[in-house]
Amino acid sequence: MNRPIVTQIQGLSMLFNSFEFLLFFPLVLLLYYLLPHKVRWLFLLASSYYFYAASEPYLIILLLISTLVDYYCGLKIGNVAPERKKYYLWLSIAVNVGILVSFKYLFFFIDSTNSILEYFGAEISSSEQIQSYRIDQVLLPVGISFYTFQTMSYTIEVYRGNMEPEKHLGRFALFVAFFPQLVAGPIEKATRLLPQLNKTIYPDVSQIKRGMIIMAWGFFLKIVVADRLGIYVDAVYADPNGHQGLPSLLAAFFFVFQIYFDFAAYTYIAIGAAKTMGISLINNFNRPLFSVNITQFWQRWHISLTQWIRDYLYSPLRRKARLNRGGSVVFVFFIMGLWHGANWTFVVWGLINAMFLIIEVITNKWRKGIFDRLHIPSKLRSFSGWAVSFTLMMLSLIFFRSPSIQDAFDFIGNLFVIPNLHINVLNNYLELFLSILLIIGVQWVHFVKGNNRIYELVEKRPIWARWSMYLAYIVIIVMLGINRQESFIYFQF
Amino acid sequence: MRYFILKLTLFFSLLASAYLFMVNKLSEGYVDMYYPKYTQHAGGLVIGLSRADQGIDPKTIVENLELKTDLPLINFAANQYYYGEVYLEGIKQKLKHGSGNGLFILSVSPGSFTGPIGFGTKGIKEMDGKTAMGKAEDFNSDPNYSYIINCYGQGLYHALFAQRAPGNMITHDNGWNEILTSGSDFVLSDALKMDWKRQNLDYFQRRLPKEETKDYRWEWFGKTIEYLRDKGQVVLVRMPADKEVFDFENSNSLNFDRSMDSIIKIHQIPYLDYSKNSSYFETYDGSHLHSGSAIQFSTQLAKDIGVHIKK
Repeated sequence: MNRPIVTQIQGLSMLFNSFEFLLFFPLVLLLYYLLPHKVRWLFLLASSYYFYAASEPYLIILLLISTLVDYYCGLKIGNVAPERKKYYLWLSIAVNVGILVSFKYLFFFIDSTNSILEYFGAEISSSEQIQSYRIDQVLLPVGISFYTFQTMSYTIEVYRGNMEPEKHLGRFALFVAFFPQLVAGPIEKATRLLPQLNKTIYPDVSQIKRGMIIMAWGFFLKIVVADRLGIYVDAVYADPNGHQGLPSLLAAFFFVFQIYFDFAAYTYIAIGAAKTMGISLINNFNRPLFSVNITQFWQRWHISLTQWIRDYLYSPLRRKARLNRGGSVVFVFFIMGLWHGANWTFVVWGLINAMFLIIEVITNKWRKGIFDRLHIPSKLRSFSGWAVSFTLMMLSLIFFRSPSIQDAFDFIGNLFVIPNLHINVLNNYLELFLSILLIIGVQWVHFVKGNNRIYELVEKRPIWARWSMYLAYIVIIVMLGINRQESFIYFQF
Repeated sequence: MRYFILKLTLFFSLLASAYLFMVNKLSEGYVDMYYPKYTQHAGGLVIGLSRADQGIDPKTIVENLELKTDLPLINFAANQYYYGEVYLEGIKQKLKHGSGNGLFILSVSPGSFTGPIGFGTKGIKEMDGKTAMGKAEDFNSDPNYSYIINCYGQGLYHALFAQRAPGNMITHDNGWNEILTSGSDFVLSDALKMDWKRQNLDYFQRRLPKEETKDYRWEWFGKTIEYLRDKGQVVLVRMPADKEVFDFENSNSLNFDRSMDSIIKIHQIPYLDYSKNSSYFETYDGSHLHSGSAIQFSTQLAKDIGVHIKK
């Protein structure tokens, strides 16, 4: 029996790369500074809810449930006797995980269970199939994985005694829904973000400028680079068996940069937008694609998620559940894979990364011994480490991008068909050349300035140089920008 | 702060002006192969996928049709324009208000009613919404800035070069995309045509396990016919293609003919099925008619329409 694959369609909020946002954001920023501090939280909260509910208003109900439950649990944890605190912590976790499971994973679990039952010979009735077909009528609420993790961090921190419960419901709601980072992070810890939302902020032109430069870099990464790379990647991944050899390799290579630039672009815009309002968000990246080993990559990629996983999952597993290191790594990477999406491809991607990490740790001394004996200089070690890590990451991301595990294996199989040298899939050498040039340019900037000092590209230069850069920016955005109206890849998580 | 806001205003004014200038510049030349489909109101339409896009020339139809119908007849077919809500909404916006004597040629093939396995209504609608038809907000302006802003998926730097359609294609103002088999610097050899046909059949074979017939598409096909019947004459056409392509389609879509029979009975409209005499019109890749055969086919189609529809 040919059983349908479950597909859920994500709901959308306002996109950063939309004309609506270009009107929304300056208006919000202007009014934010014109309003007195006392009511700013209310204005920002209303703006955030508007931003989130722009296209699917009813999805805000889940956000409100998460907010109210965690607010209540936080207050209770702060008030009740120590032995009863854990009940409220578990209530918070149960509600948030429950929302996640119900709206993101329930159908995936049903589908997987059906697959297993079918494998063992069970017949799934046609009425059950019809139910499966209806699954995509249920929208996957955008940003659900981000805001549930963020609110859980609040109750956990209150439970651990690292912060006092927030008594102001409005400010707490703003912490959950703060629009720049609501739908795709960075996942902020309450200990960092909440105090900033309570602070009186005065307009600071230098900070606003910095924020806008960071946002501008984000827009450039999204509409000039990531979306351009996406055209090639989409063409090859749409028909993985139709392309072999170099085109497949190039698509896999481009996808590493596409997903990085796409996610980094969102993060830059989020960090920049928050900075213009005097709020500092955590840096999510630290030159991850220059990592010389897999461990380093995971310390530099999606930092807010890996820190969350480390603090609230990995450490308790090691300390309280006394799970060994290997087991803990496999478990957290299984969760991390699943966090990215309700598809086995993400789980496999996570487990492959766990395997890489474990092998890296186990073979560390052995590899170091070989390098020492061969007197290999440290720069060459770093380079080979970088090349191997990059290649492994590229291969694992094939699972991340492919719609099914079978497609991923087909894709990998096609990488090794040598004779096909026809890389010009889109029949446009200029675009191909441009894509490669842009990757080199962006990585050069990231190499020199890192991910968190982009504004230094412009700051402290003479006015003629600054305005030349602004004009060059306008020319590049207008000439090379691609308006695919694509949402950010991480919106689906 | 005031100085800063002034500078910001200057920056964004420059950005907006440069953007609009380039959009206008692009609209003065060749935009893309779909752009002419969105630059005028239509009295009648050719609807369907790429076979209709390349295989039906509205001008030839009008010249050979012995009937007076609302003009202009526009080829509004394109790759990825499957029957569905998105397509019908586009058709509604495309048509002139108050026209009641239009000619509507709806091309059908088993592929017109498919979608990816596992996609339900929302999934298909979202997929259709990502095509130019789904993104377009204005269907009838010339120049159509809205089309360029919403649907043009390339860098605006193309406006600086003398743009034209890809080498072997002519994009006509009436929406027809004519495929040439020879030009000053190329000739489509028989060997190349055979190779393209083989590639197409391989592609169909690869897609087969991933696609399925969708009730949603049949439902909206019915709604499209229903809507267009109030606007004029509706004719269903199964476009010519090579025998191997029809063999593939027929062996993998066993219910297609039965479904078409029931649609014809329900709506009482003519269905011109050219799959039976498929070798009469030559394709360049097994599926699509080239320039000469498209004109030949359009002439024949006009005559056949004249025979079948009410005068």
